[in-house]
Amino acid sequence: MKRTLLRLLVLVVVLAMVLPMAFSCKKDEPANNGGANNGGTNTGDNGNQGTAATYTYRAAASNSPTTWSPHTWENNTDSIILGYTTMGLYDVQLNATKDGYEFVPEMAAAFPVDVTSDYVGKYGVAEGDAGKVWKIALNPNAKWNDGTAITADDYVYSMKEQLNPKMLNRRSDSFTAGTLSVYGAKLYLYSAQTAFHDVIGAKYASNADAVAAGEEIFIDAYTFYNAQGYVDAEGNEITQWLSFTDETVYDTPEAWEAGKAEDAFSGKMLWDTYFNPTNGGYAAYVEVGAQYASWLSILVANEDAGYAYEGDGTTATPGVGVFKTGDYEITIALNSEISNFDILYNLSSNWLVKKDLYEACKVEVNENLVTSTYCTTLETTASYGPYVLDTYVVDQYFTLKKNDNWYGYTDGKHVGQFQTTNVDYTIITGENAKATEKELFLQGKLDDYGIDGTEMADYGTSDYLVCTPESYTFQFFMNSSLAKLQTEDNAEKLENHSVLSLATFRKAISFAISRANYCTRFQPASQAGFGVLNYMYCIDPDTGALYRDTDAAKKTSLIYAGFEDQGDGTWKDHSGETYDTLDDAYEAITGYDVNYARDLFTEAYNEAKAAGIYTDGWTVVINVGTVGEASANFKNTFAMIEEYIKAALPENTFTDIKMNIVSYADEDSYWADLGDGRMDLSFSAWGGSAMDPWGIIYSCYIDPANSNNYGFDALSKTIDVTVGDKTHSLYDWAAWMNNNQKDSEYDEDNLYTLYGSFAKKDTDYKVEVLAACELAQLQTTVNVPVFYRYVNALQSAKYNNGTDTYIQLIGFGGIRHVTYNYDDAAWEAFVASNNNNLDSLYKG
Amino acid sequence: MLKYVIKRILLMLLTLFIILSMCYILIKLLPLPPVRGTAETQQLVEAQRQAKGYYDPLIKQFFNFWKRVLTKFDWGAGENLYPTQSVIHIIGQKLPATIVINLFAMLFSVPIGLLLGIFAAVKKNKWQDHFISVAVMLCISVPSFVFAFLLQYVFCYKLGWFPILMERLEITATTTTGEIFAQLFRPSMVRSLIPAIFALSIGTIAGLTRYTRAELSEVLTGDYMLLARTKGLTRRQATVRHALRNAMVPIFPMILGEFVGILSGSLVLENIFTIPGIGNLYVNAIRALDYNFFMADSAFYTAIGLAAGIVVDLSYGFIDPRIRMGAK
Repeated sequence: MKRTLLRLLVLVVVLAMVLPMAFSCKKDEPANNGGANNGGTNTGDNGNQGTAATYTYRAAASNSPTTWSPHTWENNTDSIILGYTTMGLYDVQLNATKDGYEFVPEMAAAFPVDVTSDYVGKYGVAEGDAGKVWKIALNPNAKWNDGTAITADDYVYSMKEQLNPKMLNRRSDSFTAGTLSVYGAKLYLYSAQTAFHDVIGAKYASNADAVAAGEEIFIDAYTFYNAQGYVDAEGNEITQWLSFTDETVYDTPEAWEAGKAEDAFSGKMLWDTYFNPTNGGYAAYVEVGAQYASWLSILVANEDAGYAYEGDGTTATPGVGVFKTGDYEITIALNSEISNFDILYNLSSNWLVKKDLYEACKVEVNENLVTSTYCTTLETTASYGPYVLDTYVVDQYFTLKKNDNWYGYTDGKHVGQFQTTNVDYTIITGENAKATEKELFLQGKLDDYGIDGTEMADYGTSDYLVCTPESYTFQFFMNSSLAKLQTEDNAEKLENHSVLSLATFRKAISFAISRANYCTRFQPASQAGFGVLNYMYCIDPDTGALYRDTDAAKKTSLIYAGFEDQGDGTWKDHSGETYDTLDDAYEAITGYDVNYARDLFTEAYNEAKAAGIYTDGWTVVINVGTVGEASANFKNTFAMIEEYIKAALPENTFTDIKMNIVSYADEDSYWADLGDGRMDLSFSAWGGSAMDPWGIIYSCYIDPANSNNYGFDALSKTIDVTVGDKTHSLYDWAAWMNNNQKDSEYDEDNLYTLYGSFAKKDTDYKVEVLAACELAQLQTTVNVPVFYRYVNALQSAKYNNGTDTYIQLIGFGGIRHVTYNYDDAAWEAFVASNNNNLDSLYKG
Repeated sequence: MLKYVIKRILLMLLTLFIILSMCYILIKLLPLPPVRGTAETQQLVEAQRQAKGYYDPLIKQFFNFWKRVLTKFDWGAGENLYPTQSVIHIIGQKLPATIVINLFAMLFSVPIGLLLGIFAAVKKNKWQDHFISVAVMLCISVPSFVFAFLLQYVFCYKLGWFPILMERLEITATTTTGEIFAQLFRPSMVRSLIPAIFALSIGTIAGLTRYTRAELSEVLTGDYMLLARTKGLTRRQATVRHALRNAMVPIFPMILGEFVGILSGSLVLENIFTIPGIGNLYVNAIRALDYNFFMADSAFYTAIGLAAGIVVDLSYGFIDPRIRMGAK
């Protein structure tokens, strides 16, 4: 019995061990390795004589693309496929000297021609207008991947479907608002709706007139009150527009569950408290024609219901401003003027869909809604770009191969470009994704690997390290509302939060921390930051000149960092050291001055005592929010910040200062608490729009809808900014800058008419205004810049970028300019010769 | 017996209906996710939500849901997860990988678990038993994904015996679920799945070993075992013929339960080895508040759970003829 059982057990165990070994005794076949298989397209043929070499770019994506239709794509992963299978009317490539970018016509045959003057009286064009109507000759060689020619009809059909009123496609907003707002697009998009919310000014001269006329007024609870997700007592979801007579009380679901009002309000309460023209606190801001008039609306019958796409721009048949003017020519009419750069930039993405496939993919959800499965699978995808989708398995991988029908391979204009023959993406997700990617990268099966600060010790000096700057400036966004902070003070725990409301205290924090040391430890490739706009912001698309390099911007940084202009071209810092030139002083900025921070803490203490907001013996606690469980990096960061602050804290002032990390379950609750002043400090970033720095101050810091600084009130216009001999509020200047390139609806202080279009001012003046506004914003100390982010990655030895220097708009050249040191077969041999482990190569 | 089975099935359908109705109402009571983006985007999404009937009275939405499910078996298309794609199609595409990997894990772990358990019980309180018990405790205490990391690092990365990730499936619009299953049984595919199968099996082996040892140890000390030995049976004969059969009464339903678990997938393991399975579909559906995926997943898992209950109940009668239902 014993022996039999033992034998049986041994047999099973041996089988369990041997079978896997038997499977594994065959060495890895490239086609079966994670990340290496390209769906049988080319790799298997690499060794065959007479077969063209293949060059496969292999990468990882954190999740599977799910819809890459140009009309409905949602996120960055979706856009990966679009980036390969489509091509803009215009695109950006490296210039001949590879030190800058240039636009080139791609799906277009030539650069766009401004034909606005030919359309006076049509499409809203007035005499003297320019840059509103553009004629575009199409590339006659452009084809779908099945060889079907692409003509003007395809563009018109695609735009009509993009704006299909029954589909309400996600990306329609690219053409109904913003720089490329197409004439009539919005009216056509919403033409299936019988009524819609419109601003009161559309029908009445004032809000009071609307009320007097018995009109029902609606309040935008989403934008004004940030109330998305709120529910009533029965659990019914709040809608965007609340009637001003609606007494239904809404609050957060948590508040209802706890049985305690947290943020309860009703439409009627909002109206009575804030918007009633007779006594509402914000009545002036939402008055007809004012900046926030869109927070109120009236329900109007849609007079444009049934608005037709086809038309000629006249009042009788207005139509939509994308129309055919030749078999290979379209004309685009816009609502606002647009610069040469912006028309090229905006048309670098495309809205084309393949008619027969698109129609076949339509699905009727109900009588009001039609959706489309276009570009959600291999079979529903059509290409007109350099590559065509070859394989796609949801949540596992997708591959692309060359599109044989792409004009660029034969037109002689793309010589030396698009050397990549295959593109291969593996979906790697979950907690272990980074480790898996690293293993695959070191086995030569991925061509890029993003590294973090902890890996810089190993790879920081690697020849294959690529640092990519981003437009994001990471900052401490702080709550400055005394009323809100006081609610957090806790007598039992002897906790004080209120002192954060003091500008001096916040400034002391800014000078107490060494940004350089922080970067060295946690963000090795990133730069210490002293401005809200970093080195990515471009002030002139034609020359590529950067805002941060201008004297005005440097002066802003110097003044913010505590330097004084001596009036003779020299500068002096806090310690009394002088610098001969602006550049010398700029080079010396650290933003770290313990002695000055001590003085500021003492000053803040005295202020706090005088104001009665601090009691001796209490600990100052700053609640720092983070989404999910705080990472080790995050904890160490704030441990470091706390150490710096304590080191700068003088005796006999605040008893102690602590950074308390608060975890939020998800992003929604994080941003909700930040927006409602329930968080003291957020370590996050603003960025984007690197080619258009002018609107950043307003959009990110002044506009209450986007401000991360609870308690910071720019609306009251108490912060004066002087530019030249003109003084206005920070709000006015920033709003003026933000209103560039369109006829401003904002003219409360006649800024627009006083100074004209901001867009048309000369660049030096614009920079001067921007720098003055940036300094004013920084001096509020509600947001303290810490660093300008760079993203670090190791790049495979297999390929080279088009350029080693990061260039605006095109980065390092992209897939267009990638060249290869090894074809797939040679690379495989190279990796094998290194025992399938390239770690030592990348460590250098 | 047939009457009993039919009765149980009808009760199962009623329970399924009640559970799904509760799920539908509860998920609909959750607030809609906030819309981020410009005012233009918000307006567009609001219009879409209106068109989809999100703001219709709940009772109307509820009846519309059941109407399309019962009349057309239409579970809808993804809204936030796999937008516009058929929910049934996506589940059908992702289920085979989960089933196969769990099936392999079961086939691997059940015999080993049983044999180790029997061996430990027979060797109770000897060094072999202590060794197995310690190993079992270790395997139960350490989560399977830790083993997965180790296996991936050592055997896939360092030694290169297996691919780091699962071999790729080849799926097109015309690929049937059967064809996906066929791909999953290819030798090269099985080889690529071995680390995941190992990682998944370790917990099951440990659990089964511990349970079998405990049950068998108890049975081996029973009076009838003494009787069996005294009437002249060898220890092996007594153990195999009497002890094992009796011990299997609680063990077999446990194994059946493990098989039901095959369908649920493993979120972490599927992520680690890039297995395009169903493991994280349910969680993602809730996170993304995708009503259609949530309801289809709920229906699937509830139905499987309820069916498994019936099968387990019926299995008792087959394993031990003394167990009969309805005896009065």
